[in-house]
Amino acid sequence: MKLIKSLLLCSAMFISLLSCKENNTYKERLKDPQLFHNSMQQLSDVIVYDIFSPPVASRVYMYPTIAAYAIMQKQYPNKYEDMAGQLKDFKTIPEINDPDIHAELAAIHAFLKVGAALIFSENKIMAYRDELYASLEQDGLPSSVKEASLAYGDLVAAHILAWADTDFYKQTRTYPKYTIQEGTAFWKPTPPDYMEGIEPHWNKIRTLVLAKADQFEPAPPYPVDMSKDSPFYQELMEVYELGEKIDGSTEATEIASFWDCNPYVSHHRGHAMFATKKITPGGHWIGITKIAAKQAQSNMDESINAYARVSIALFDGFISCWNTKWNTLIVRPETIINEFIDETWLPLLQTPPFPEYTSGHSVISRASAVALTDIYGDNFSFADTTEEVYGLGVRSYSSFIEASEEAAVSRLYGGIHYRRAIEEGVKQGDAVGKFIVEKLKTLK
Amino acid sequence: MPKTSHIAKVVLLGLFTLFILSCKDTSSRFELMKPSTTGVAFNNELSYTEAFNPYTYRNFYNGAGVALGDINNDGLIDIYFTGNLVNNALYLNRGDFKFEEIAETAGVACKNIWSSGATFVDINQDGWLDLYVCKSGMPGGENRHNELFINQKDNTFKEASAEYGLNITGLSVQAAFFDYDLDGDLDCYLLNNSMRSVGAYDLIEDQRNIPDTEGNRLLENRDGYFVNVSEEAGIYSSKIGFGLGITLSDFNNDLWPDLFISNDFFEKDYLYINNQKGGFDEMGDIYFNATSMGSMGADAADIDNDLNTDLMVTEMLPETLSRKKLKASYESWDKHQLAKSKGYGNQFPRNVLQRNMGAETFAEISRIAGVEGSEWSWAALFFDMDNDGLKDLYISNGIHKDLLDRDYLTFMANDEKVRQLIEEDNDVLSKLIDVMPSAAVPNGAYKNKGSFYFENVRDLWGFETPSFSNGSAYGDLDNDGDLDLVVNNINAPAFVYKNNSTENNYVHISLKGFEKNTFAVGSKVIVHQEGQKSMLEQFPSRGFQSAISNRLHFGLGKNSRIDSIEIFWPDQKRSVLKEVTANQHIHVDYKAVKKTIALISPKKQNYHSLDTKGPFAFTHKENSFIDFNQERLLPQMFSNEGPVIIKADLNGDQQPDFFFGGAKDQVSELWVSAGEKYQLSSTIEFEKDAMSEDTKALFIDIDNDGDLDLYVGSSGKAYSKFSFNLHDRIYINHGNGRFAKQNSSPFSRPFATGALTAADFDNDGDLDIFVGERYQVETYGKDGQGFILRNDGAGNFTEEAPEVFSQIGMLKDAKHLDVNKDGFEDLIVIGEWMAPKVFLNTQGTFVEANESFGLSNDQGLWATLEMADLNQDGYQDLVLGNIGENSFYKKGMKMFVKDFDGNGTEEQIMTYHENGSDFPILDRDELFKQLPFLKKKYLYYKDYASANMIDLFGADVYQTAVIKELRELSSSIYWGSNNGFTKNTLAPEIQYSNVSSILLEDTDNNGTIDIVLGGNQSKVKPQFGPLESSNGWILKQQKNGIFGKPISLGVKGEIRSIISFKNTDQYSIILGINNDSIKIKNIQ
Repeated sequence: MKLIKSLLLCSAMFISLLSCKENNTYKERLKDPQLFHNSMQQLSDVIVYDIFSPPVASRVYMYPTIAAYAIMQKQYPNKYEDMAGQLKDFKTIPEINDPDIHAELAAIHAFLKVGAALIFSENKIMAYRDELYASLEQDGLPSSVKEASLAYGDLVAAHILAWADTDFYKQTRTYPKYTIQEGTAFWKPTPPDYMEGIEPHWNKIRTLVLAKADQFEPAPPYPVDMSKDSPFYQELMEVYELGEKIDGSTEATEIASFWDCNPYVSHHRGHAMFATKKITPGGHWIGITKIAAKQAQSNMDESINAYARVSIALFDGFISCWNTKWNTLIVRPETIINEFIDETWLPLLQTPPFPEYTSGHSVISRASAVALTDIYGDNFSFADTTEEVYGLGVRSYSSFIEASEEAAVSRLYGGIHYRRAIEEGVKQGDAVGKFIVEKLKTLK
Repeated sequence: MPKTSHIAKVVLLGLFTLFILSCKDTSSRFELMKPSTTGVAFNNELSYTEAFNPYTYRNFYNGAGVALGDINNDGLIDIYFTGNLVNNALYLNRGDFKFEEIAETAGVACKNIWSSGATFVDINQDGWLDLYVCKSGMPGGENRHNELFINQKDNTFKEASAEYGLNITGLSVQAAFFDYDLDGDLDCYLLNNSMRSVGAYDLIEDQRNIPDTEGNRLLENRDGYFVNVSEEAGIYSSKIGFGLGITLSDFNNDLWPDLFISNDFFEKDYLYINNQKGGFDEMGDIYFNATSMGSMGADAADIDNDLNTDLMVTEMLPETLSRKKLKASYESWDKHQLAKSKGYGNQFPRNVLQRNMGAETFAEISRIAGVEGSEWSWAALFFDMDNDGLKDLYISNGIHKDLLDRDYLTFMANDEKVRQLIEEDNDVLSKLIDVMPSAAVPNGAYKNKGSFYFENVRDLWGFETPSFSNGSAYGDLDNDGDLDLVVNNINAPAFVYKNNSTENNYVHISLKGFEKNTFAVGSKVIVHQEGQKSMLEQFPSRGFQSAISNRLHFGLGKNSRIDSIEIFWPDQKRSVLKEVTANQHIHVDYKAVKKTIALISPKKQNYHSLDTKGPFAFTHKENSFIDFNQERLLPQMFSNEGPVIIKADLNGDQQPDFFFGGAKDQVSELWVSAGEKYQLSSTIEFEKDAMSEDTKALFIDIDNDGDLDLYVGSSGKAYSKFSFNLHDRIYINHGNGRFAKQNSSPFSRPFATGALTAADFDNDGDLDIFVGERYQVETYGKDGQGFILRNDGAGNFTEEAPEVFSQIGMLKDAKHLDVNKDGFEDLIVIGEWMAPKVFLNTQGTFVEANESFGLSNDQGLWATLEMADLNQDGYQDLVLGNIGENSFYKKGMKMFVKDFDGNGTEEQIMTYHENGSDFPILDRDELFKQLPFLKKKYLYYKDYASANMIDLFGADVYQTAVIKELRELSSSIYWGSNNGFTKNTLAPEIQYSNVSSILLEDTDNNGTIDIVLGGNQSKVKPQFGPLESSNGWILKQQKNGIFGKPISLGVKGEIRSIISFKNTDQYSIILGINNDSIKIKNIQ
């Protein structure tokens, strides 16, 4: 028995030696962080195709990325801290216990496996994955390595998914829909589709690093008050007048469109209708992470670390912001301008379907920027090409914080937020981001 | 086997022959004629370009029209087709279905301009038909304005629109010429579709009041010149008018023409009632309880031969469930409520069939008639296809590109292709349209079976050919006494259908009018035959962008005898022709016949003006709770079941006192008589319980002290299952109308009460109470429990929860009756998704009856049960209110209750039964929002559209889910006898809505018990559509259980309780209406 086993092992080694000699390219390829960037891009594309709302999209980014990080941490225990004990209810993953396991391949596999479980168009991920594995095999990936890595990746994916299953996402699917409140001050569904409010119970989702959803509550919004000298009225008129001033050519318009990040914008032409889909705000920051990682020449595990820290900031940021939104229930400028000031006024951007205060983009952009600054530093110039595929051009920034501030104010230019929701949102995101930076230890 | 085979063969042969015979007999009532035979080769060929397509031009696929008329006065009806990109065509009828195209030489080809509707009219009063053609499409081009072609009497025409002021440019759809002010000449209604895009402005109030120069127009004929009088005449001409149909009829029988405009998109339809003062009053909100959302073509005709014109309006709802799931999108509840509050009416995504009930009321009955969904439809036309005396229904269908295909909208129209669109690449729109699905569908034909029942005879009558059909018109093209049909198709030759009916009689009538109205447009003709009257109106513009010939066609059935023909001329004069022979074409000349002034019956007031003020007032205020926000899969709400009203003489003055139950957050009221007046008694005790929703109540002597105490049952879904506000309460009468609440509840847990009945079940001399649970508040569909409150004689109740009542159902009512005459009161309980159940009382213990008593197969949505010996045969009869037949609830429907996603909360999924399996009634997005795991299995709408419950949830779903089924929907009488009950469903009108309250009393003092019924349910998601087609009914009993035709009570709203009241000898009934004041009706 022993003999057979060692014979088998021998022959396996022999084969692998042979193949090593013949083709070792796969090893080089598996070192290339671009492989992970591509996989992340694939996930982003499917998130766009399947139309996930921004908070749900942040969940779809986070779990797969944690799966990949956890494997990297097992592979490089001296370089990285285990997230077990740092993220709520997260237990450490099984150890790497087979020399055939190639950690980077296992990480990509676990990433795609968890991703596929959380999205709908599984076949798109599968097609990408099959093609990837086939080309790696052509580049000499031995089947023993492939099998061991995939088996381990599957094991880790199952571990992550079991953890994800207890985050209250499933339960919140049956929670009550938001009941529209009477009264001018309260948020109402907005044109053109009057979609129901997105994720009114997102604050029930388990946070990762934050202790609770309302850990960093912003200052309260200005009370909705239509008397001419009230602060609310003044900020309302600012949105209205900006909207009147901005026409197709100003930089403000460009900024607003650049940071729109609305996953589903519908266009009506009579009975004919079509929609445009874009990446979510979170997706945009995942994109910036890629740009930063490539520019800083991060290797694969470092890139994964960056993605993991950003996706955690995004995830907790959305919970914090959504908690504020569905507690304050502030009406969108479009609704109140149409009712009191100008019934034909249209914001530059389509109003997204949830309450106004605080601005989600402001919160999560700032939280992500803080996370990225922590990794790549304060003085990091980059050209943001994330929206290029959506025909929106390139914008350049000298730091992540600068980009996040532009993202925040873009919502004012877009006519979908008042100034206070942006300013307070930035503070809220800053607090969330800094707390995570402080608490969460990854790179040793 | 050898012995029988011979016989079998003979039988088979016989059957076979029969089959062939029957095939021959019916297969080709309508025969599609070949273009090569008829010479009619017209084809509305349409192709899109990058610049001109359904995205750049909203009405790109609306198609074109057909106008029929005899242009050369040779007695043969000629055909004019309009074309969008192709030239218009005029086919001269050469007889025997041979046609000759002469548009070019006749000068009516309208080259290079998008033509839409067309109609013939004798504008210059020379007895020859002129032609008016509406233009649409892109601006610019020669003769882009609408054109008026004057007949030169030699098969040529001359354009003269400018002379008449009719050279109007817009997105014109169709015109109708008629005399709205009865000044003798023909005026014109021009239907113009708004130039504006349908966008984000659909909830702005009062937009229809802002006139627009490009909008609809009413044009008054002033000595041959047409002048826009829209504003003075009360016609809306705003930018939100997206009209697609003009339908003329005298809807209120005052011999003045009225006008119905169907509006596409968010704007509501307009019903203009002629105010007889040179204008119209738009009264849609008063006449209609529901209208169609994206209204398309329409037609008005008398469907039931009651001399009131009924109305059919088409929409875009597909016919089958799977196509609905693939092609239809729906407004959410919130959006629908918002639109309603902004003045956009009560609109729903389906065809509507409006039955004219007289008295300013239509009842929307498309669903009981089975015509609510017919695909993307354009024209509706009522005509007697088989000459049996009842007008049948034809609907043209098909959209060349499925603009609303859900997969297209979600996955194709917004992927890479739209990205290109953003980058403003060339040809993006046309590439987008390339991938839009396109599927031809057959047109619809429905045979009128009487009483508003229609049979789908599409295949039987020869309409099975799929097409993209738009404008259509009927007329007898070969003068053989039946109506042939002409249909204009996109990208296919026009259809010419020859009608081969021969089995029945007919008469054709051509009217010659007076000077300025030579074809007597606006006339009404009634043919009287034994036991039947049948009526037509002379309004040629009908259906969609089309006009029929001005020859009136009456099918007469088997009876060839016409008693008389009554003509109401457009000037309100009346002629009567006698001794007319059937099966001929008669010509009636206004100048040649005797005329009298027509008597116009007095205007029938809308019934609501007949409400009486009573000596007490109560307004029920429903709370704003939305069940759908808790249970997303529910099609309707269940939390609007009050008010309850009960009466009893509490103070011994022989006058009844009244208790009115309040909704959640509303204080219940007790009104006590003081002489002839009533006083609101102290509300202190009830104020404490305002948080409860009171839906059931009983006055009974609980404590055996000789006066009546009050038991109040509470229900509602706006509570947690632990809420104490669900507890029933007992108020003890301490004399002088003072009630005090008993503090402790006898119940071990709070629950929603659905049924109450008190009786001395244990024969110990005091009253016990049966209390049945309405539903489990957290999940509709799970059975509730039944309880007996056992009275100790001093008013102390002990809760008993017998095993036999543990899963009793979702109860709505209970009555006690000694069914088996053993001296103990038995129980009959009814409820939703269940058959009525009988529990026999054996010495104080209940057992479920083994025998069915004729009730146990009737699983229904039972809401109320009343009992009386109606036919005075010594047995109690039951009258049961059910959901009715005019709703989305269908026989064979099931409800599956299970925790489908294993997240700890049970869901209910309702299904329709089709082809042997069960399919969710729900739209994909709605179901998947609740059960996201399904989205992985069924990413595409087309896959979900064909998925049944096993596909979705696995074969074991039939074992693991609790399943209920509906088998009876009709409200019915169950006649009592010595061996159970025999069912008799109530009149069709009663089934137009649900019945949630019943009163059995002699309302007319003739010694027999009558039935008063009320219901309605407004809180249904728009895609399923509310039930609002009842205004309350009385069925008066003549004798021996024979009831007269239903008489409307004329009460709008949701009637939840009916109770009688007699004050100074006037018998009246009090109607408790959800979220409204009580209504009091005096009964004559």
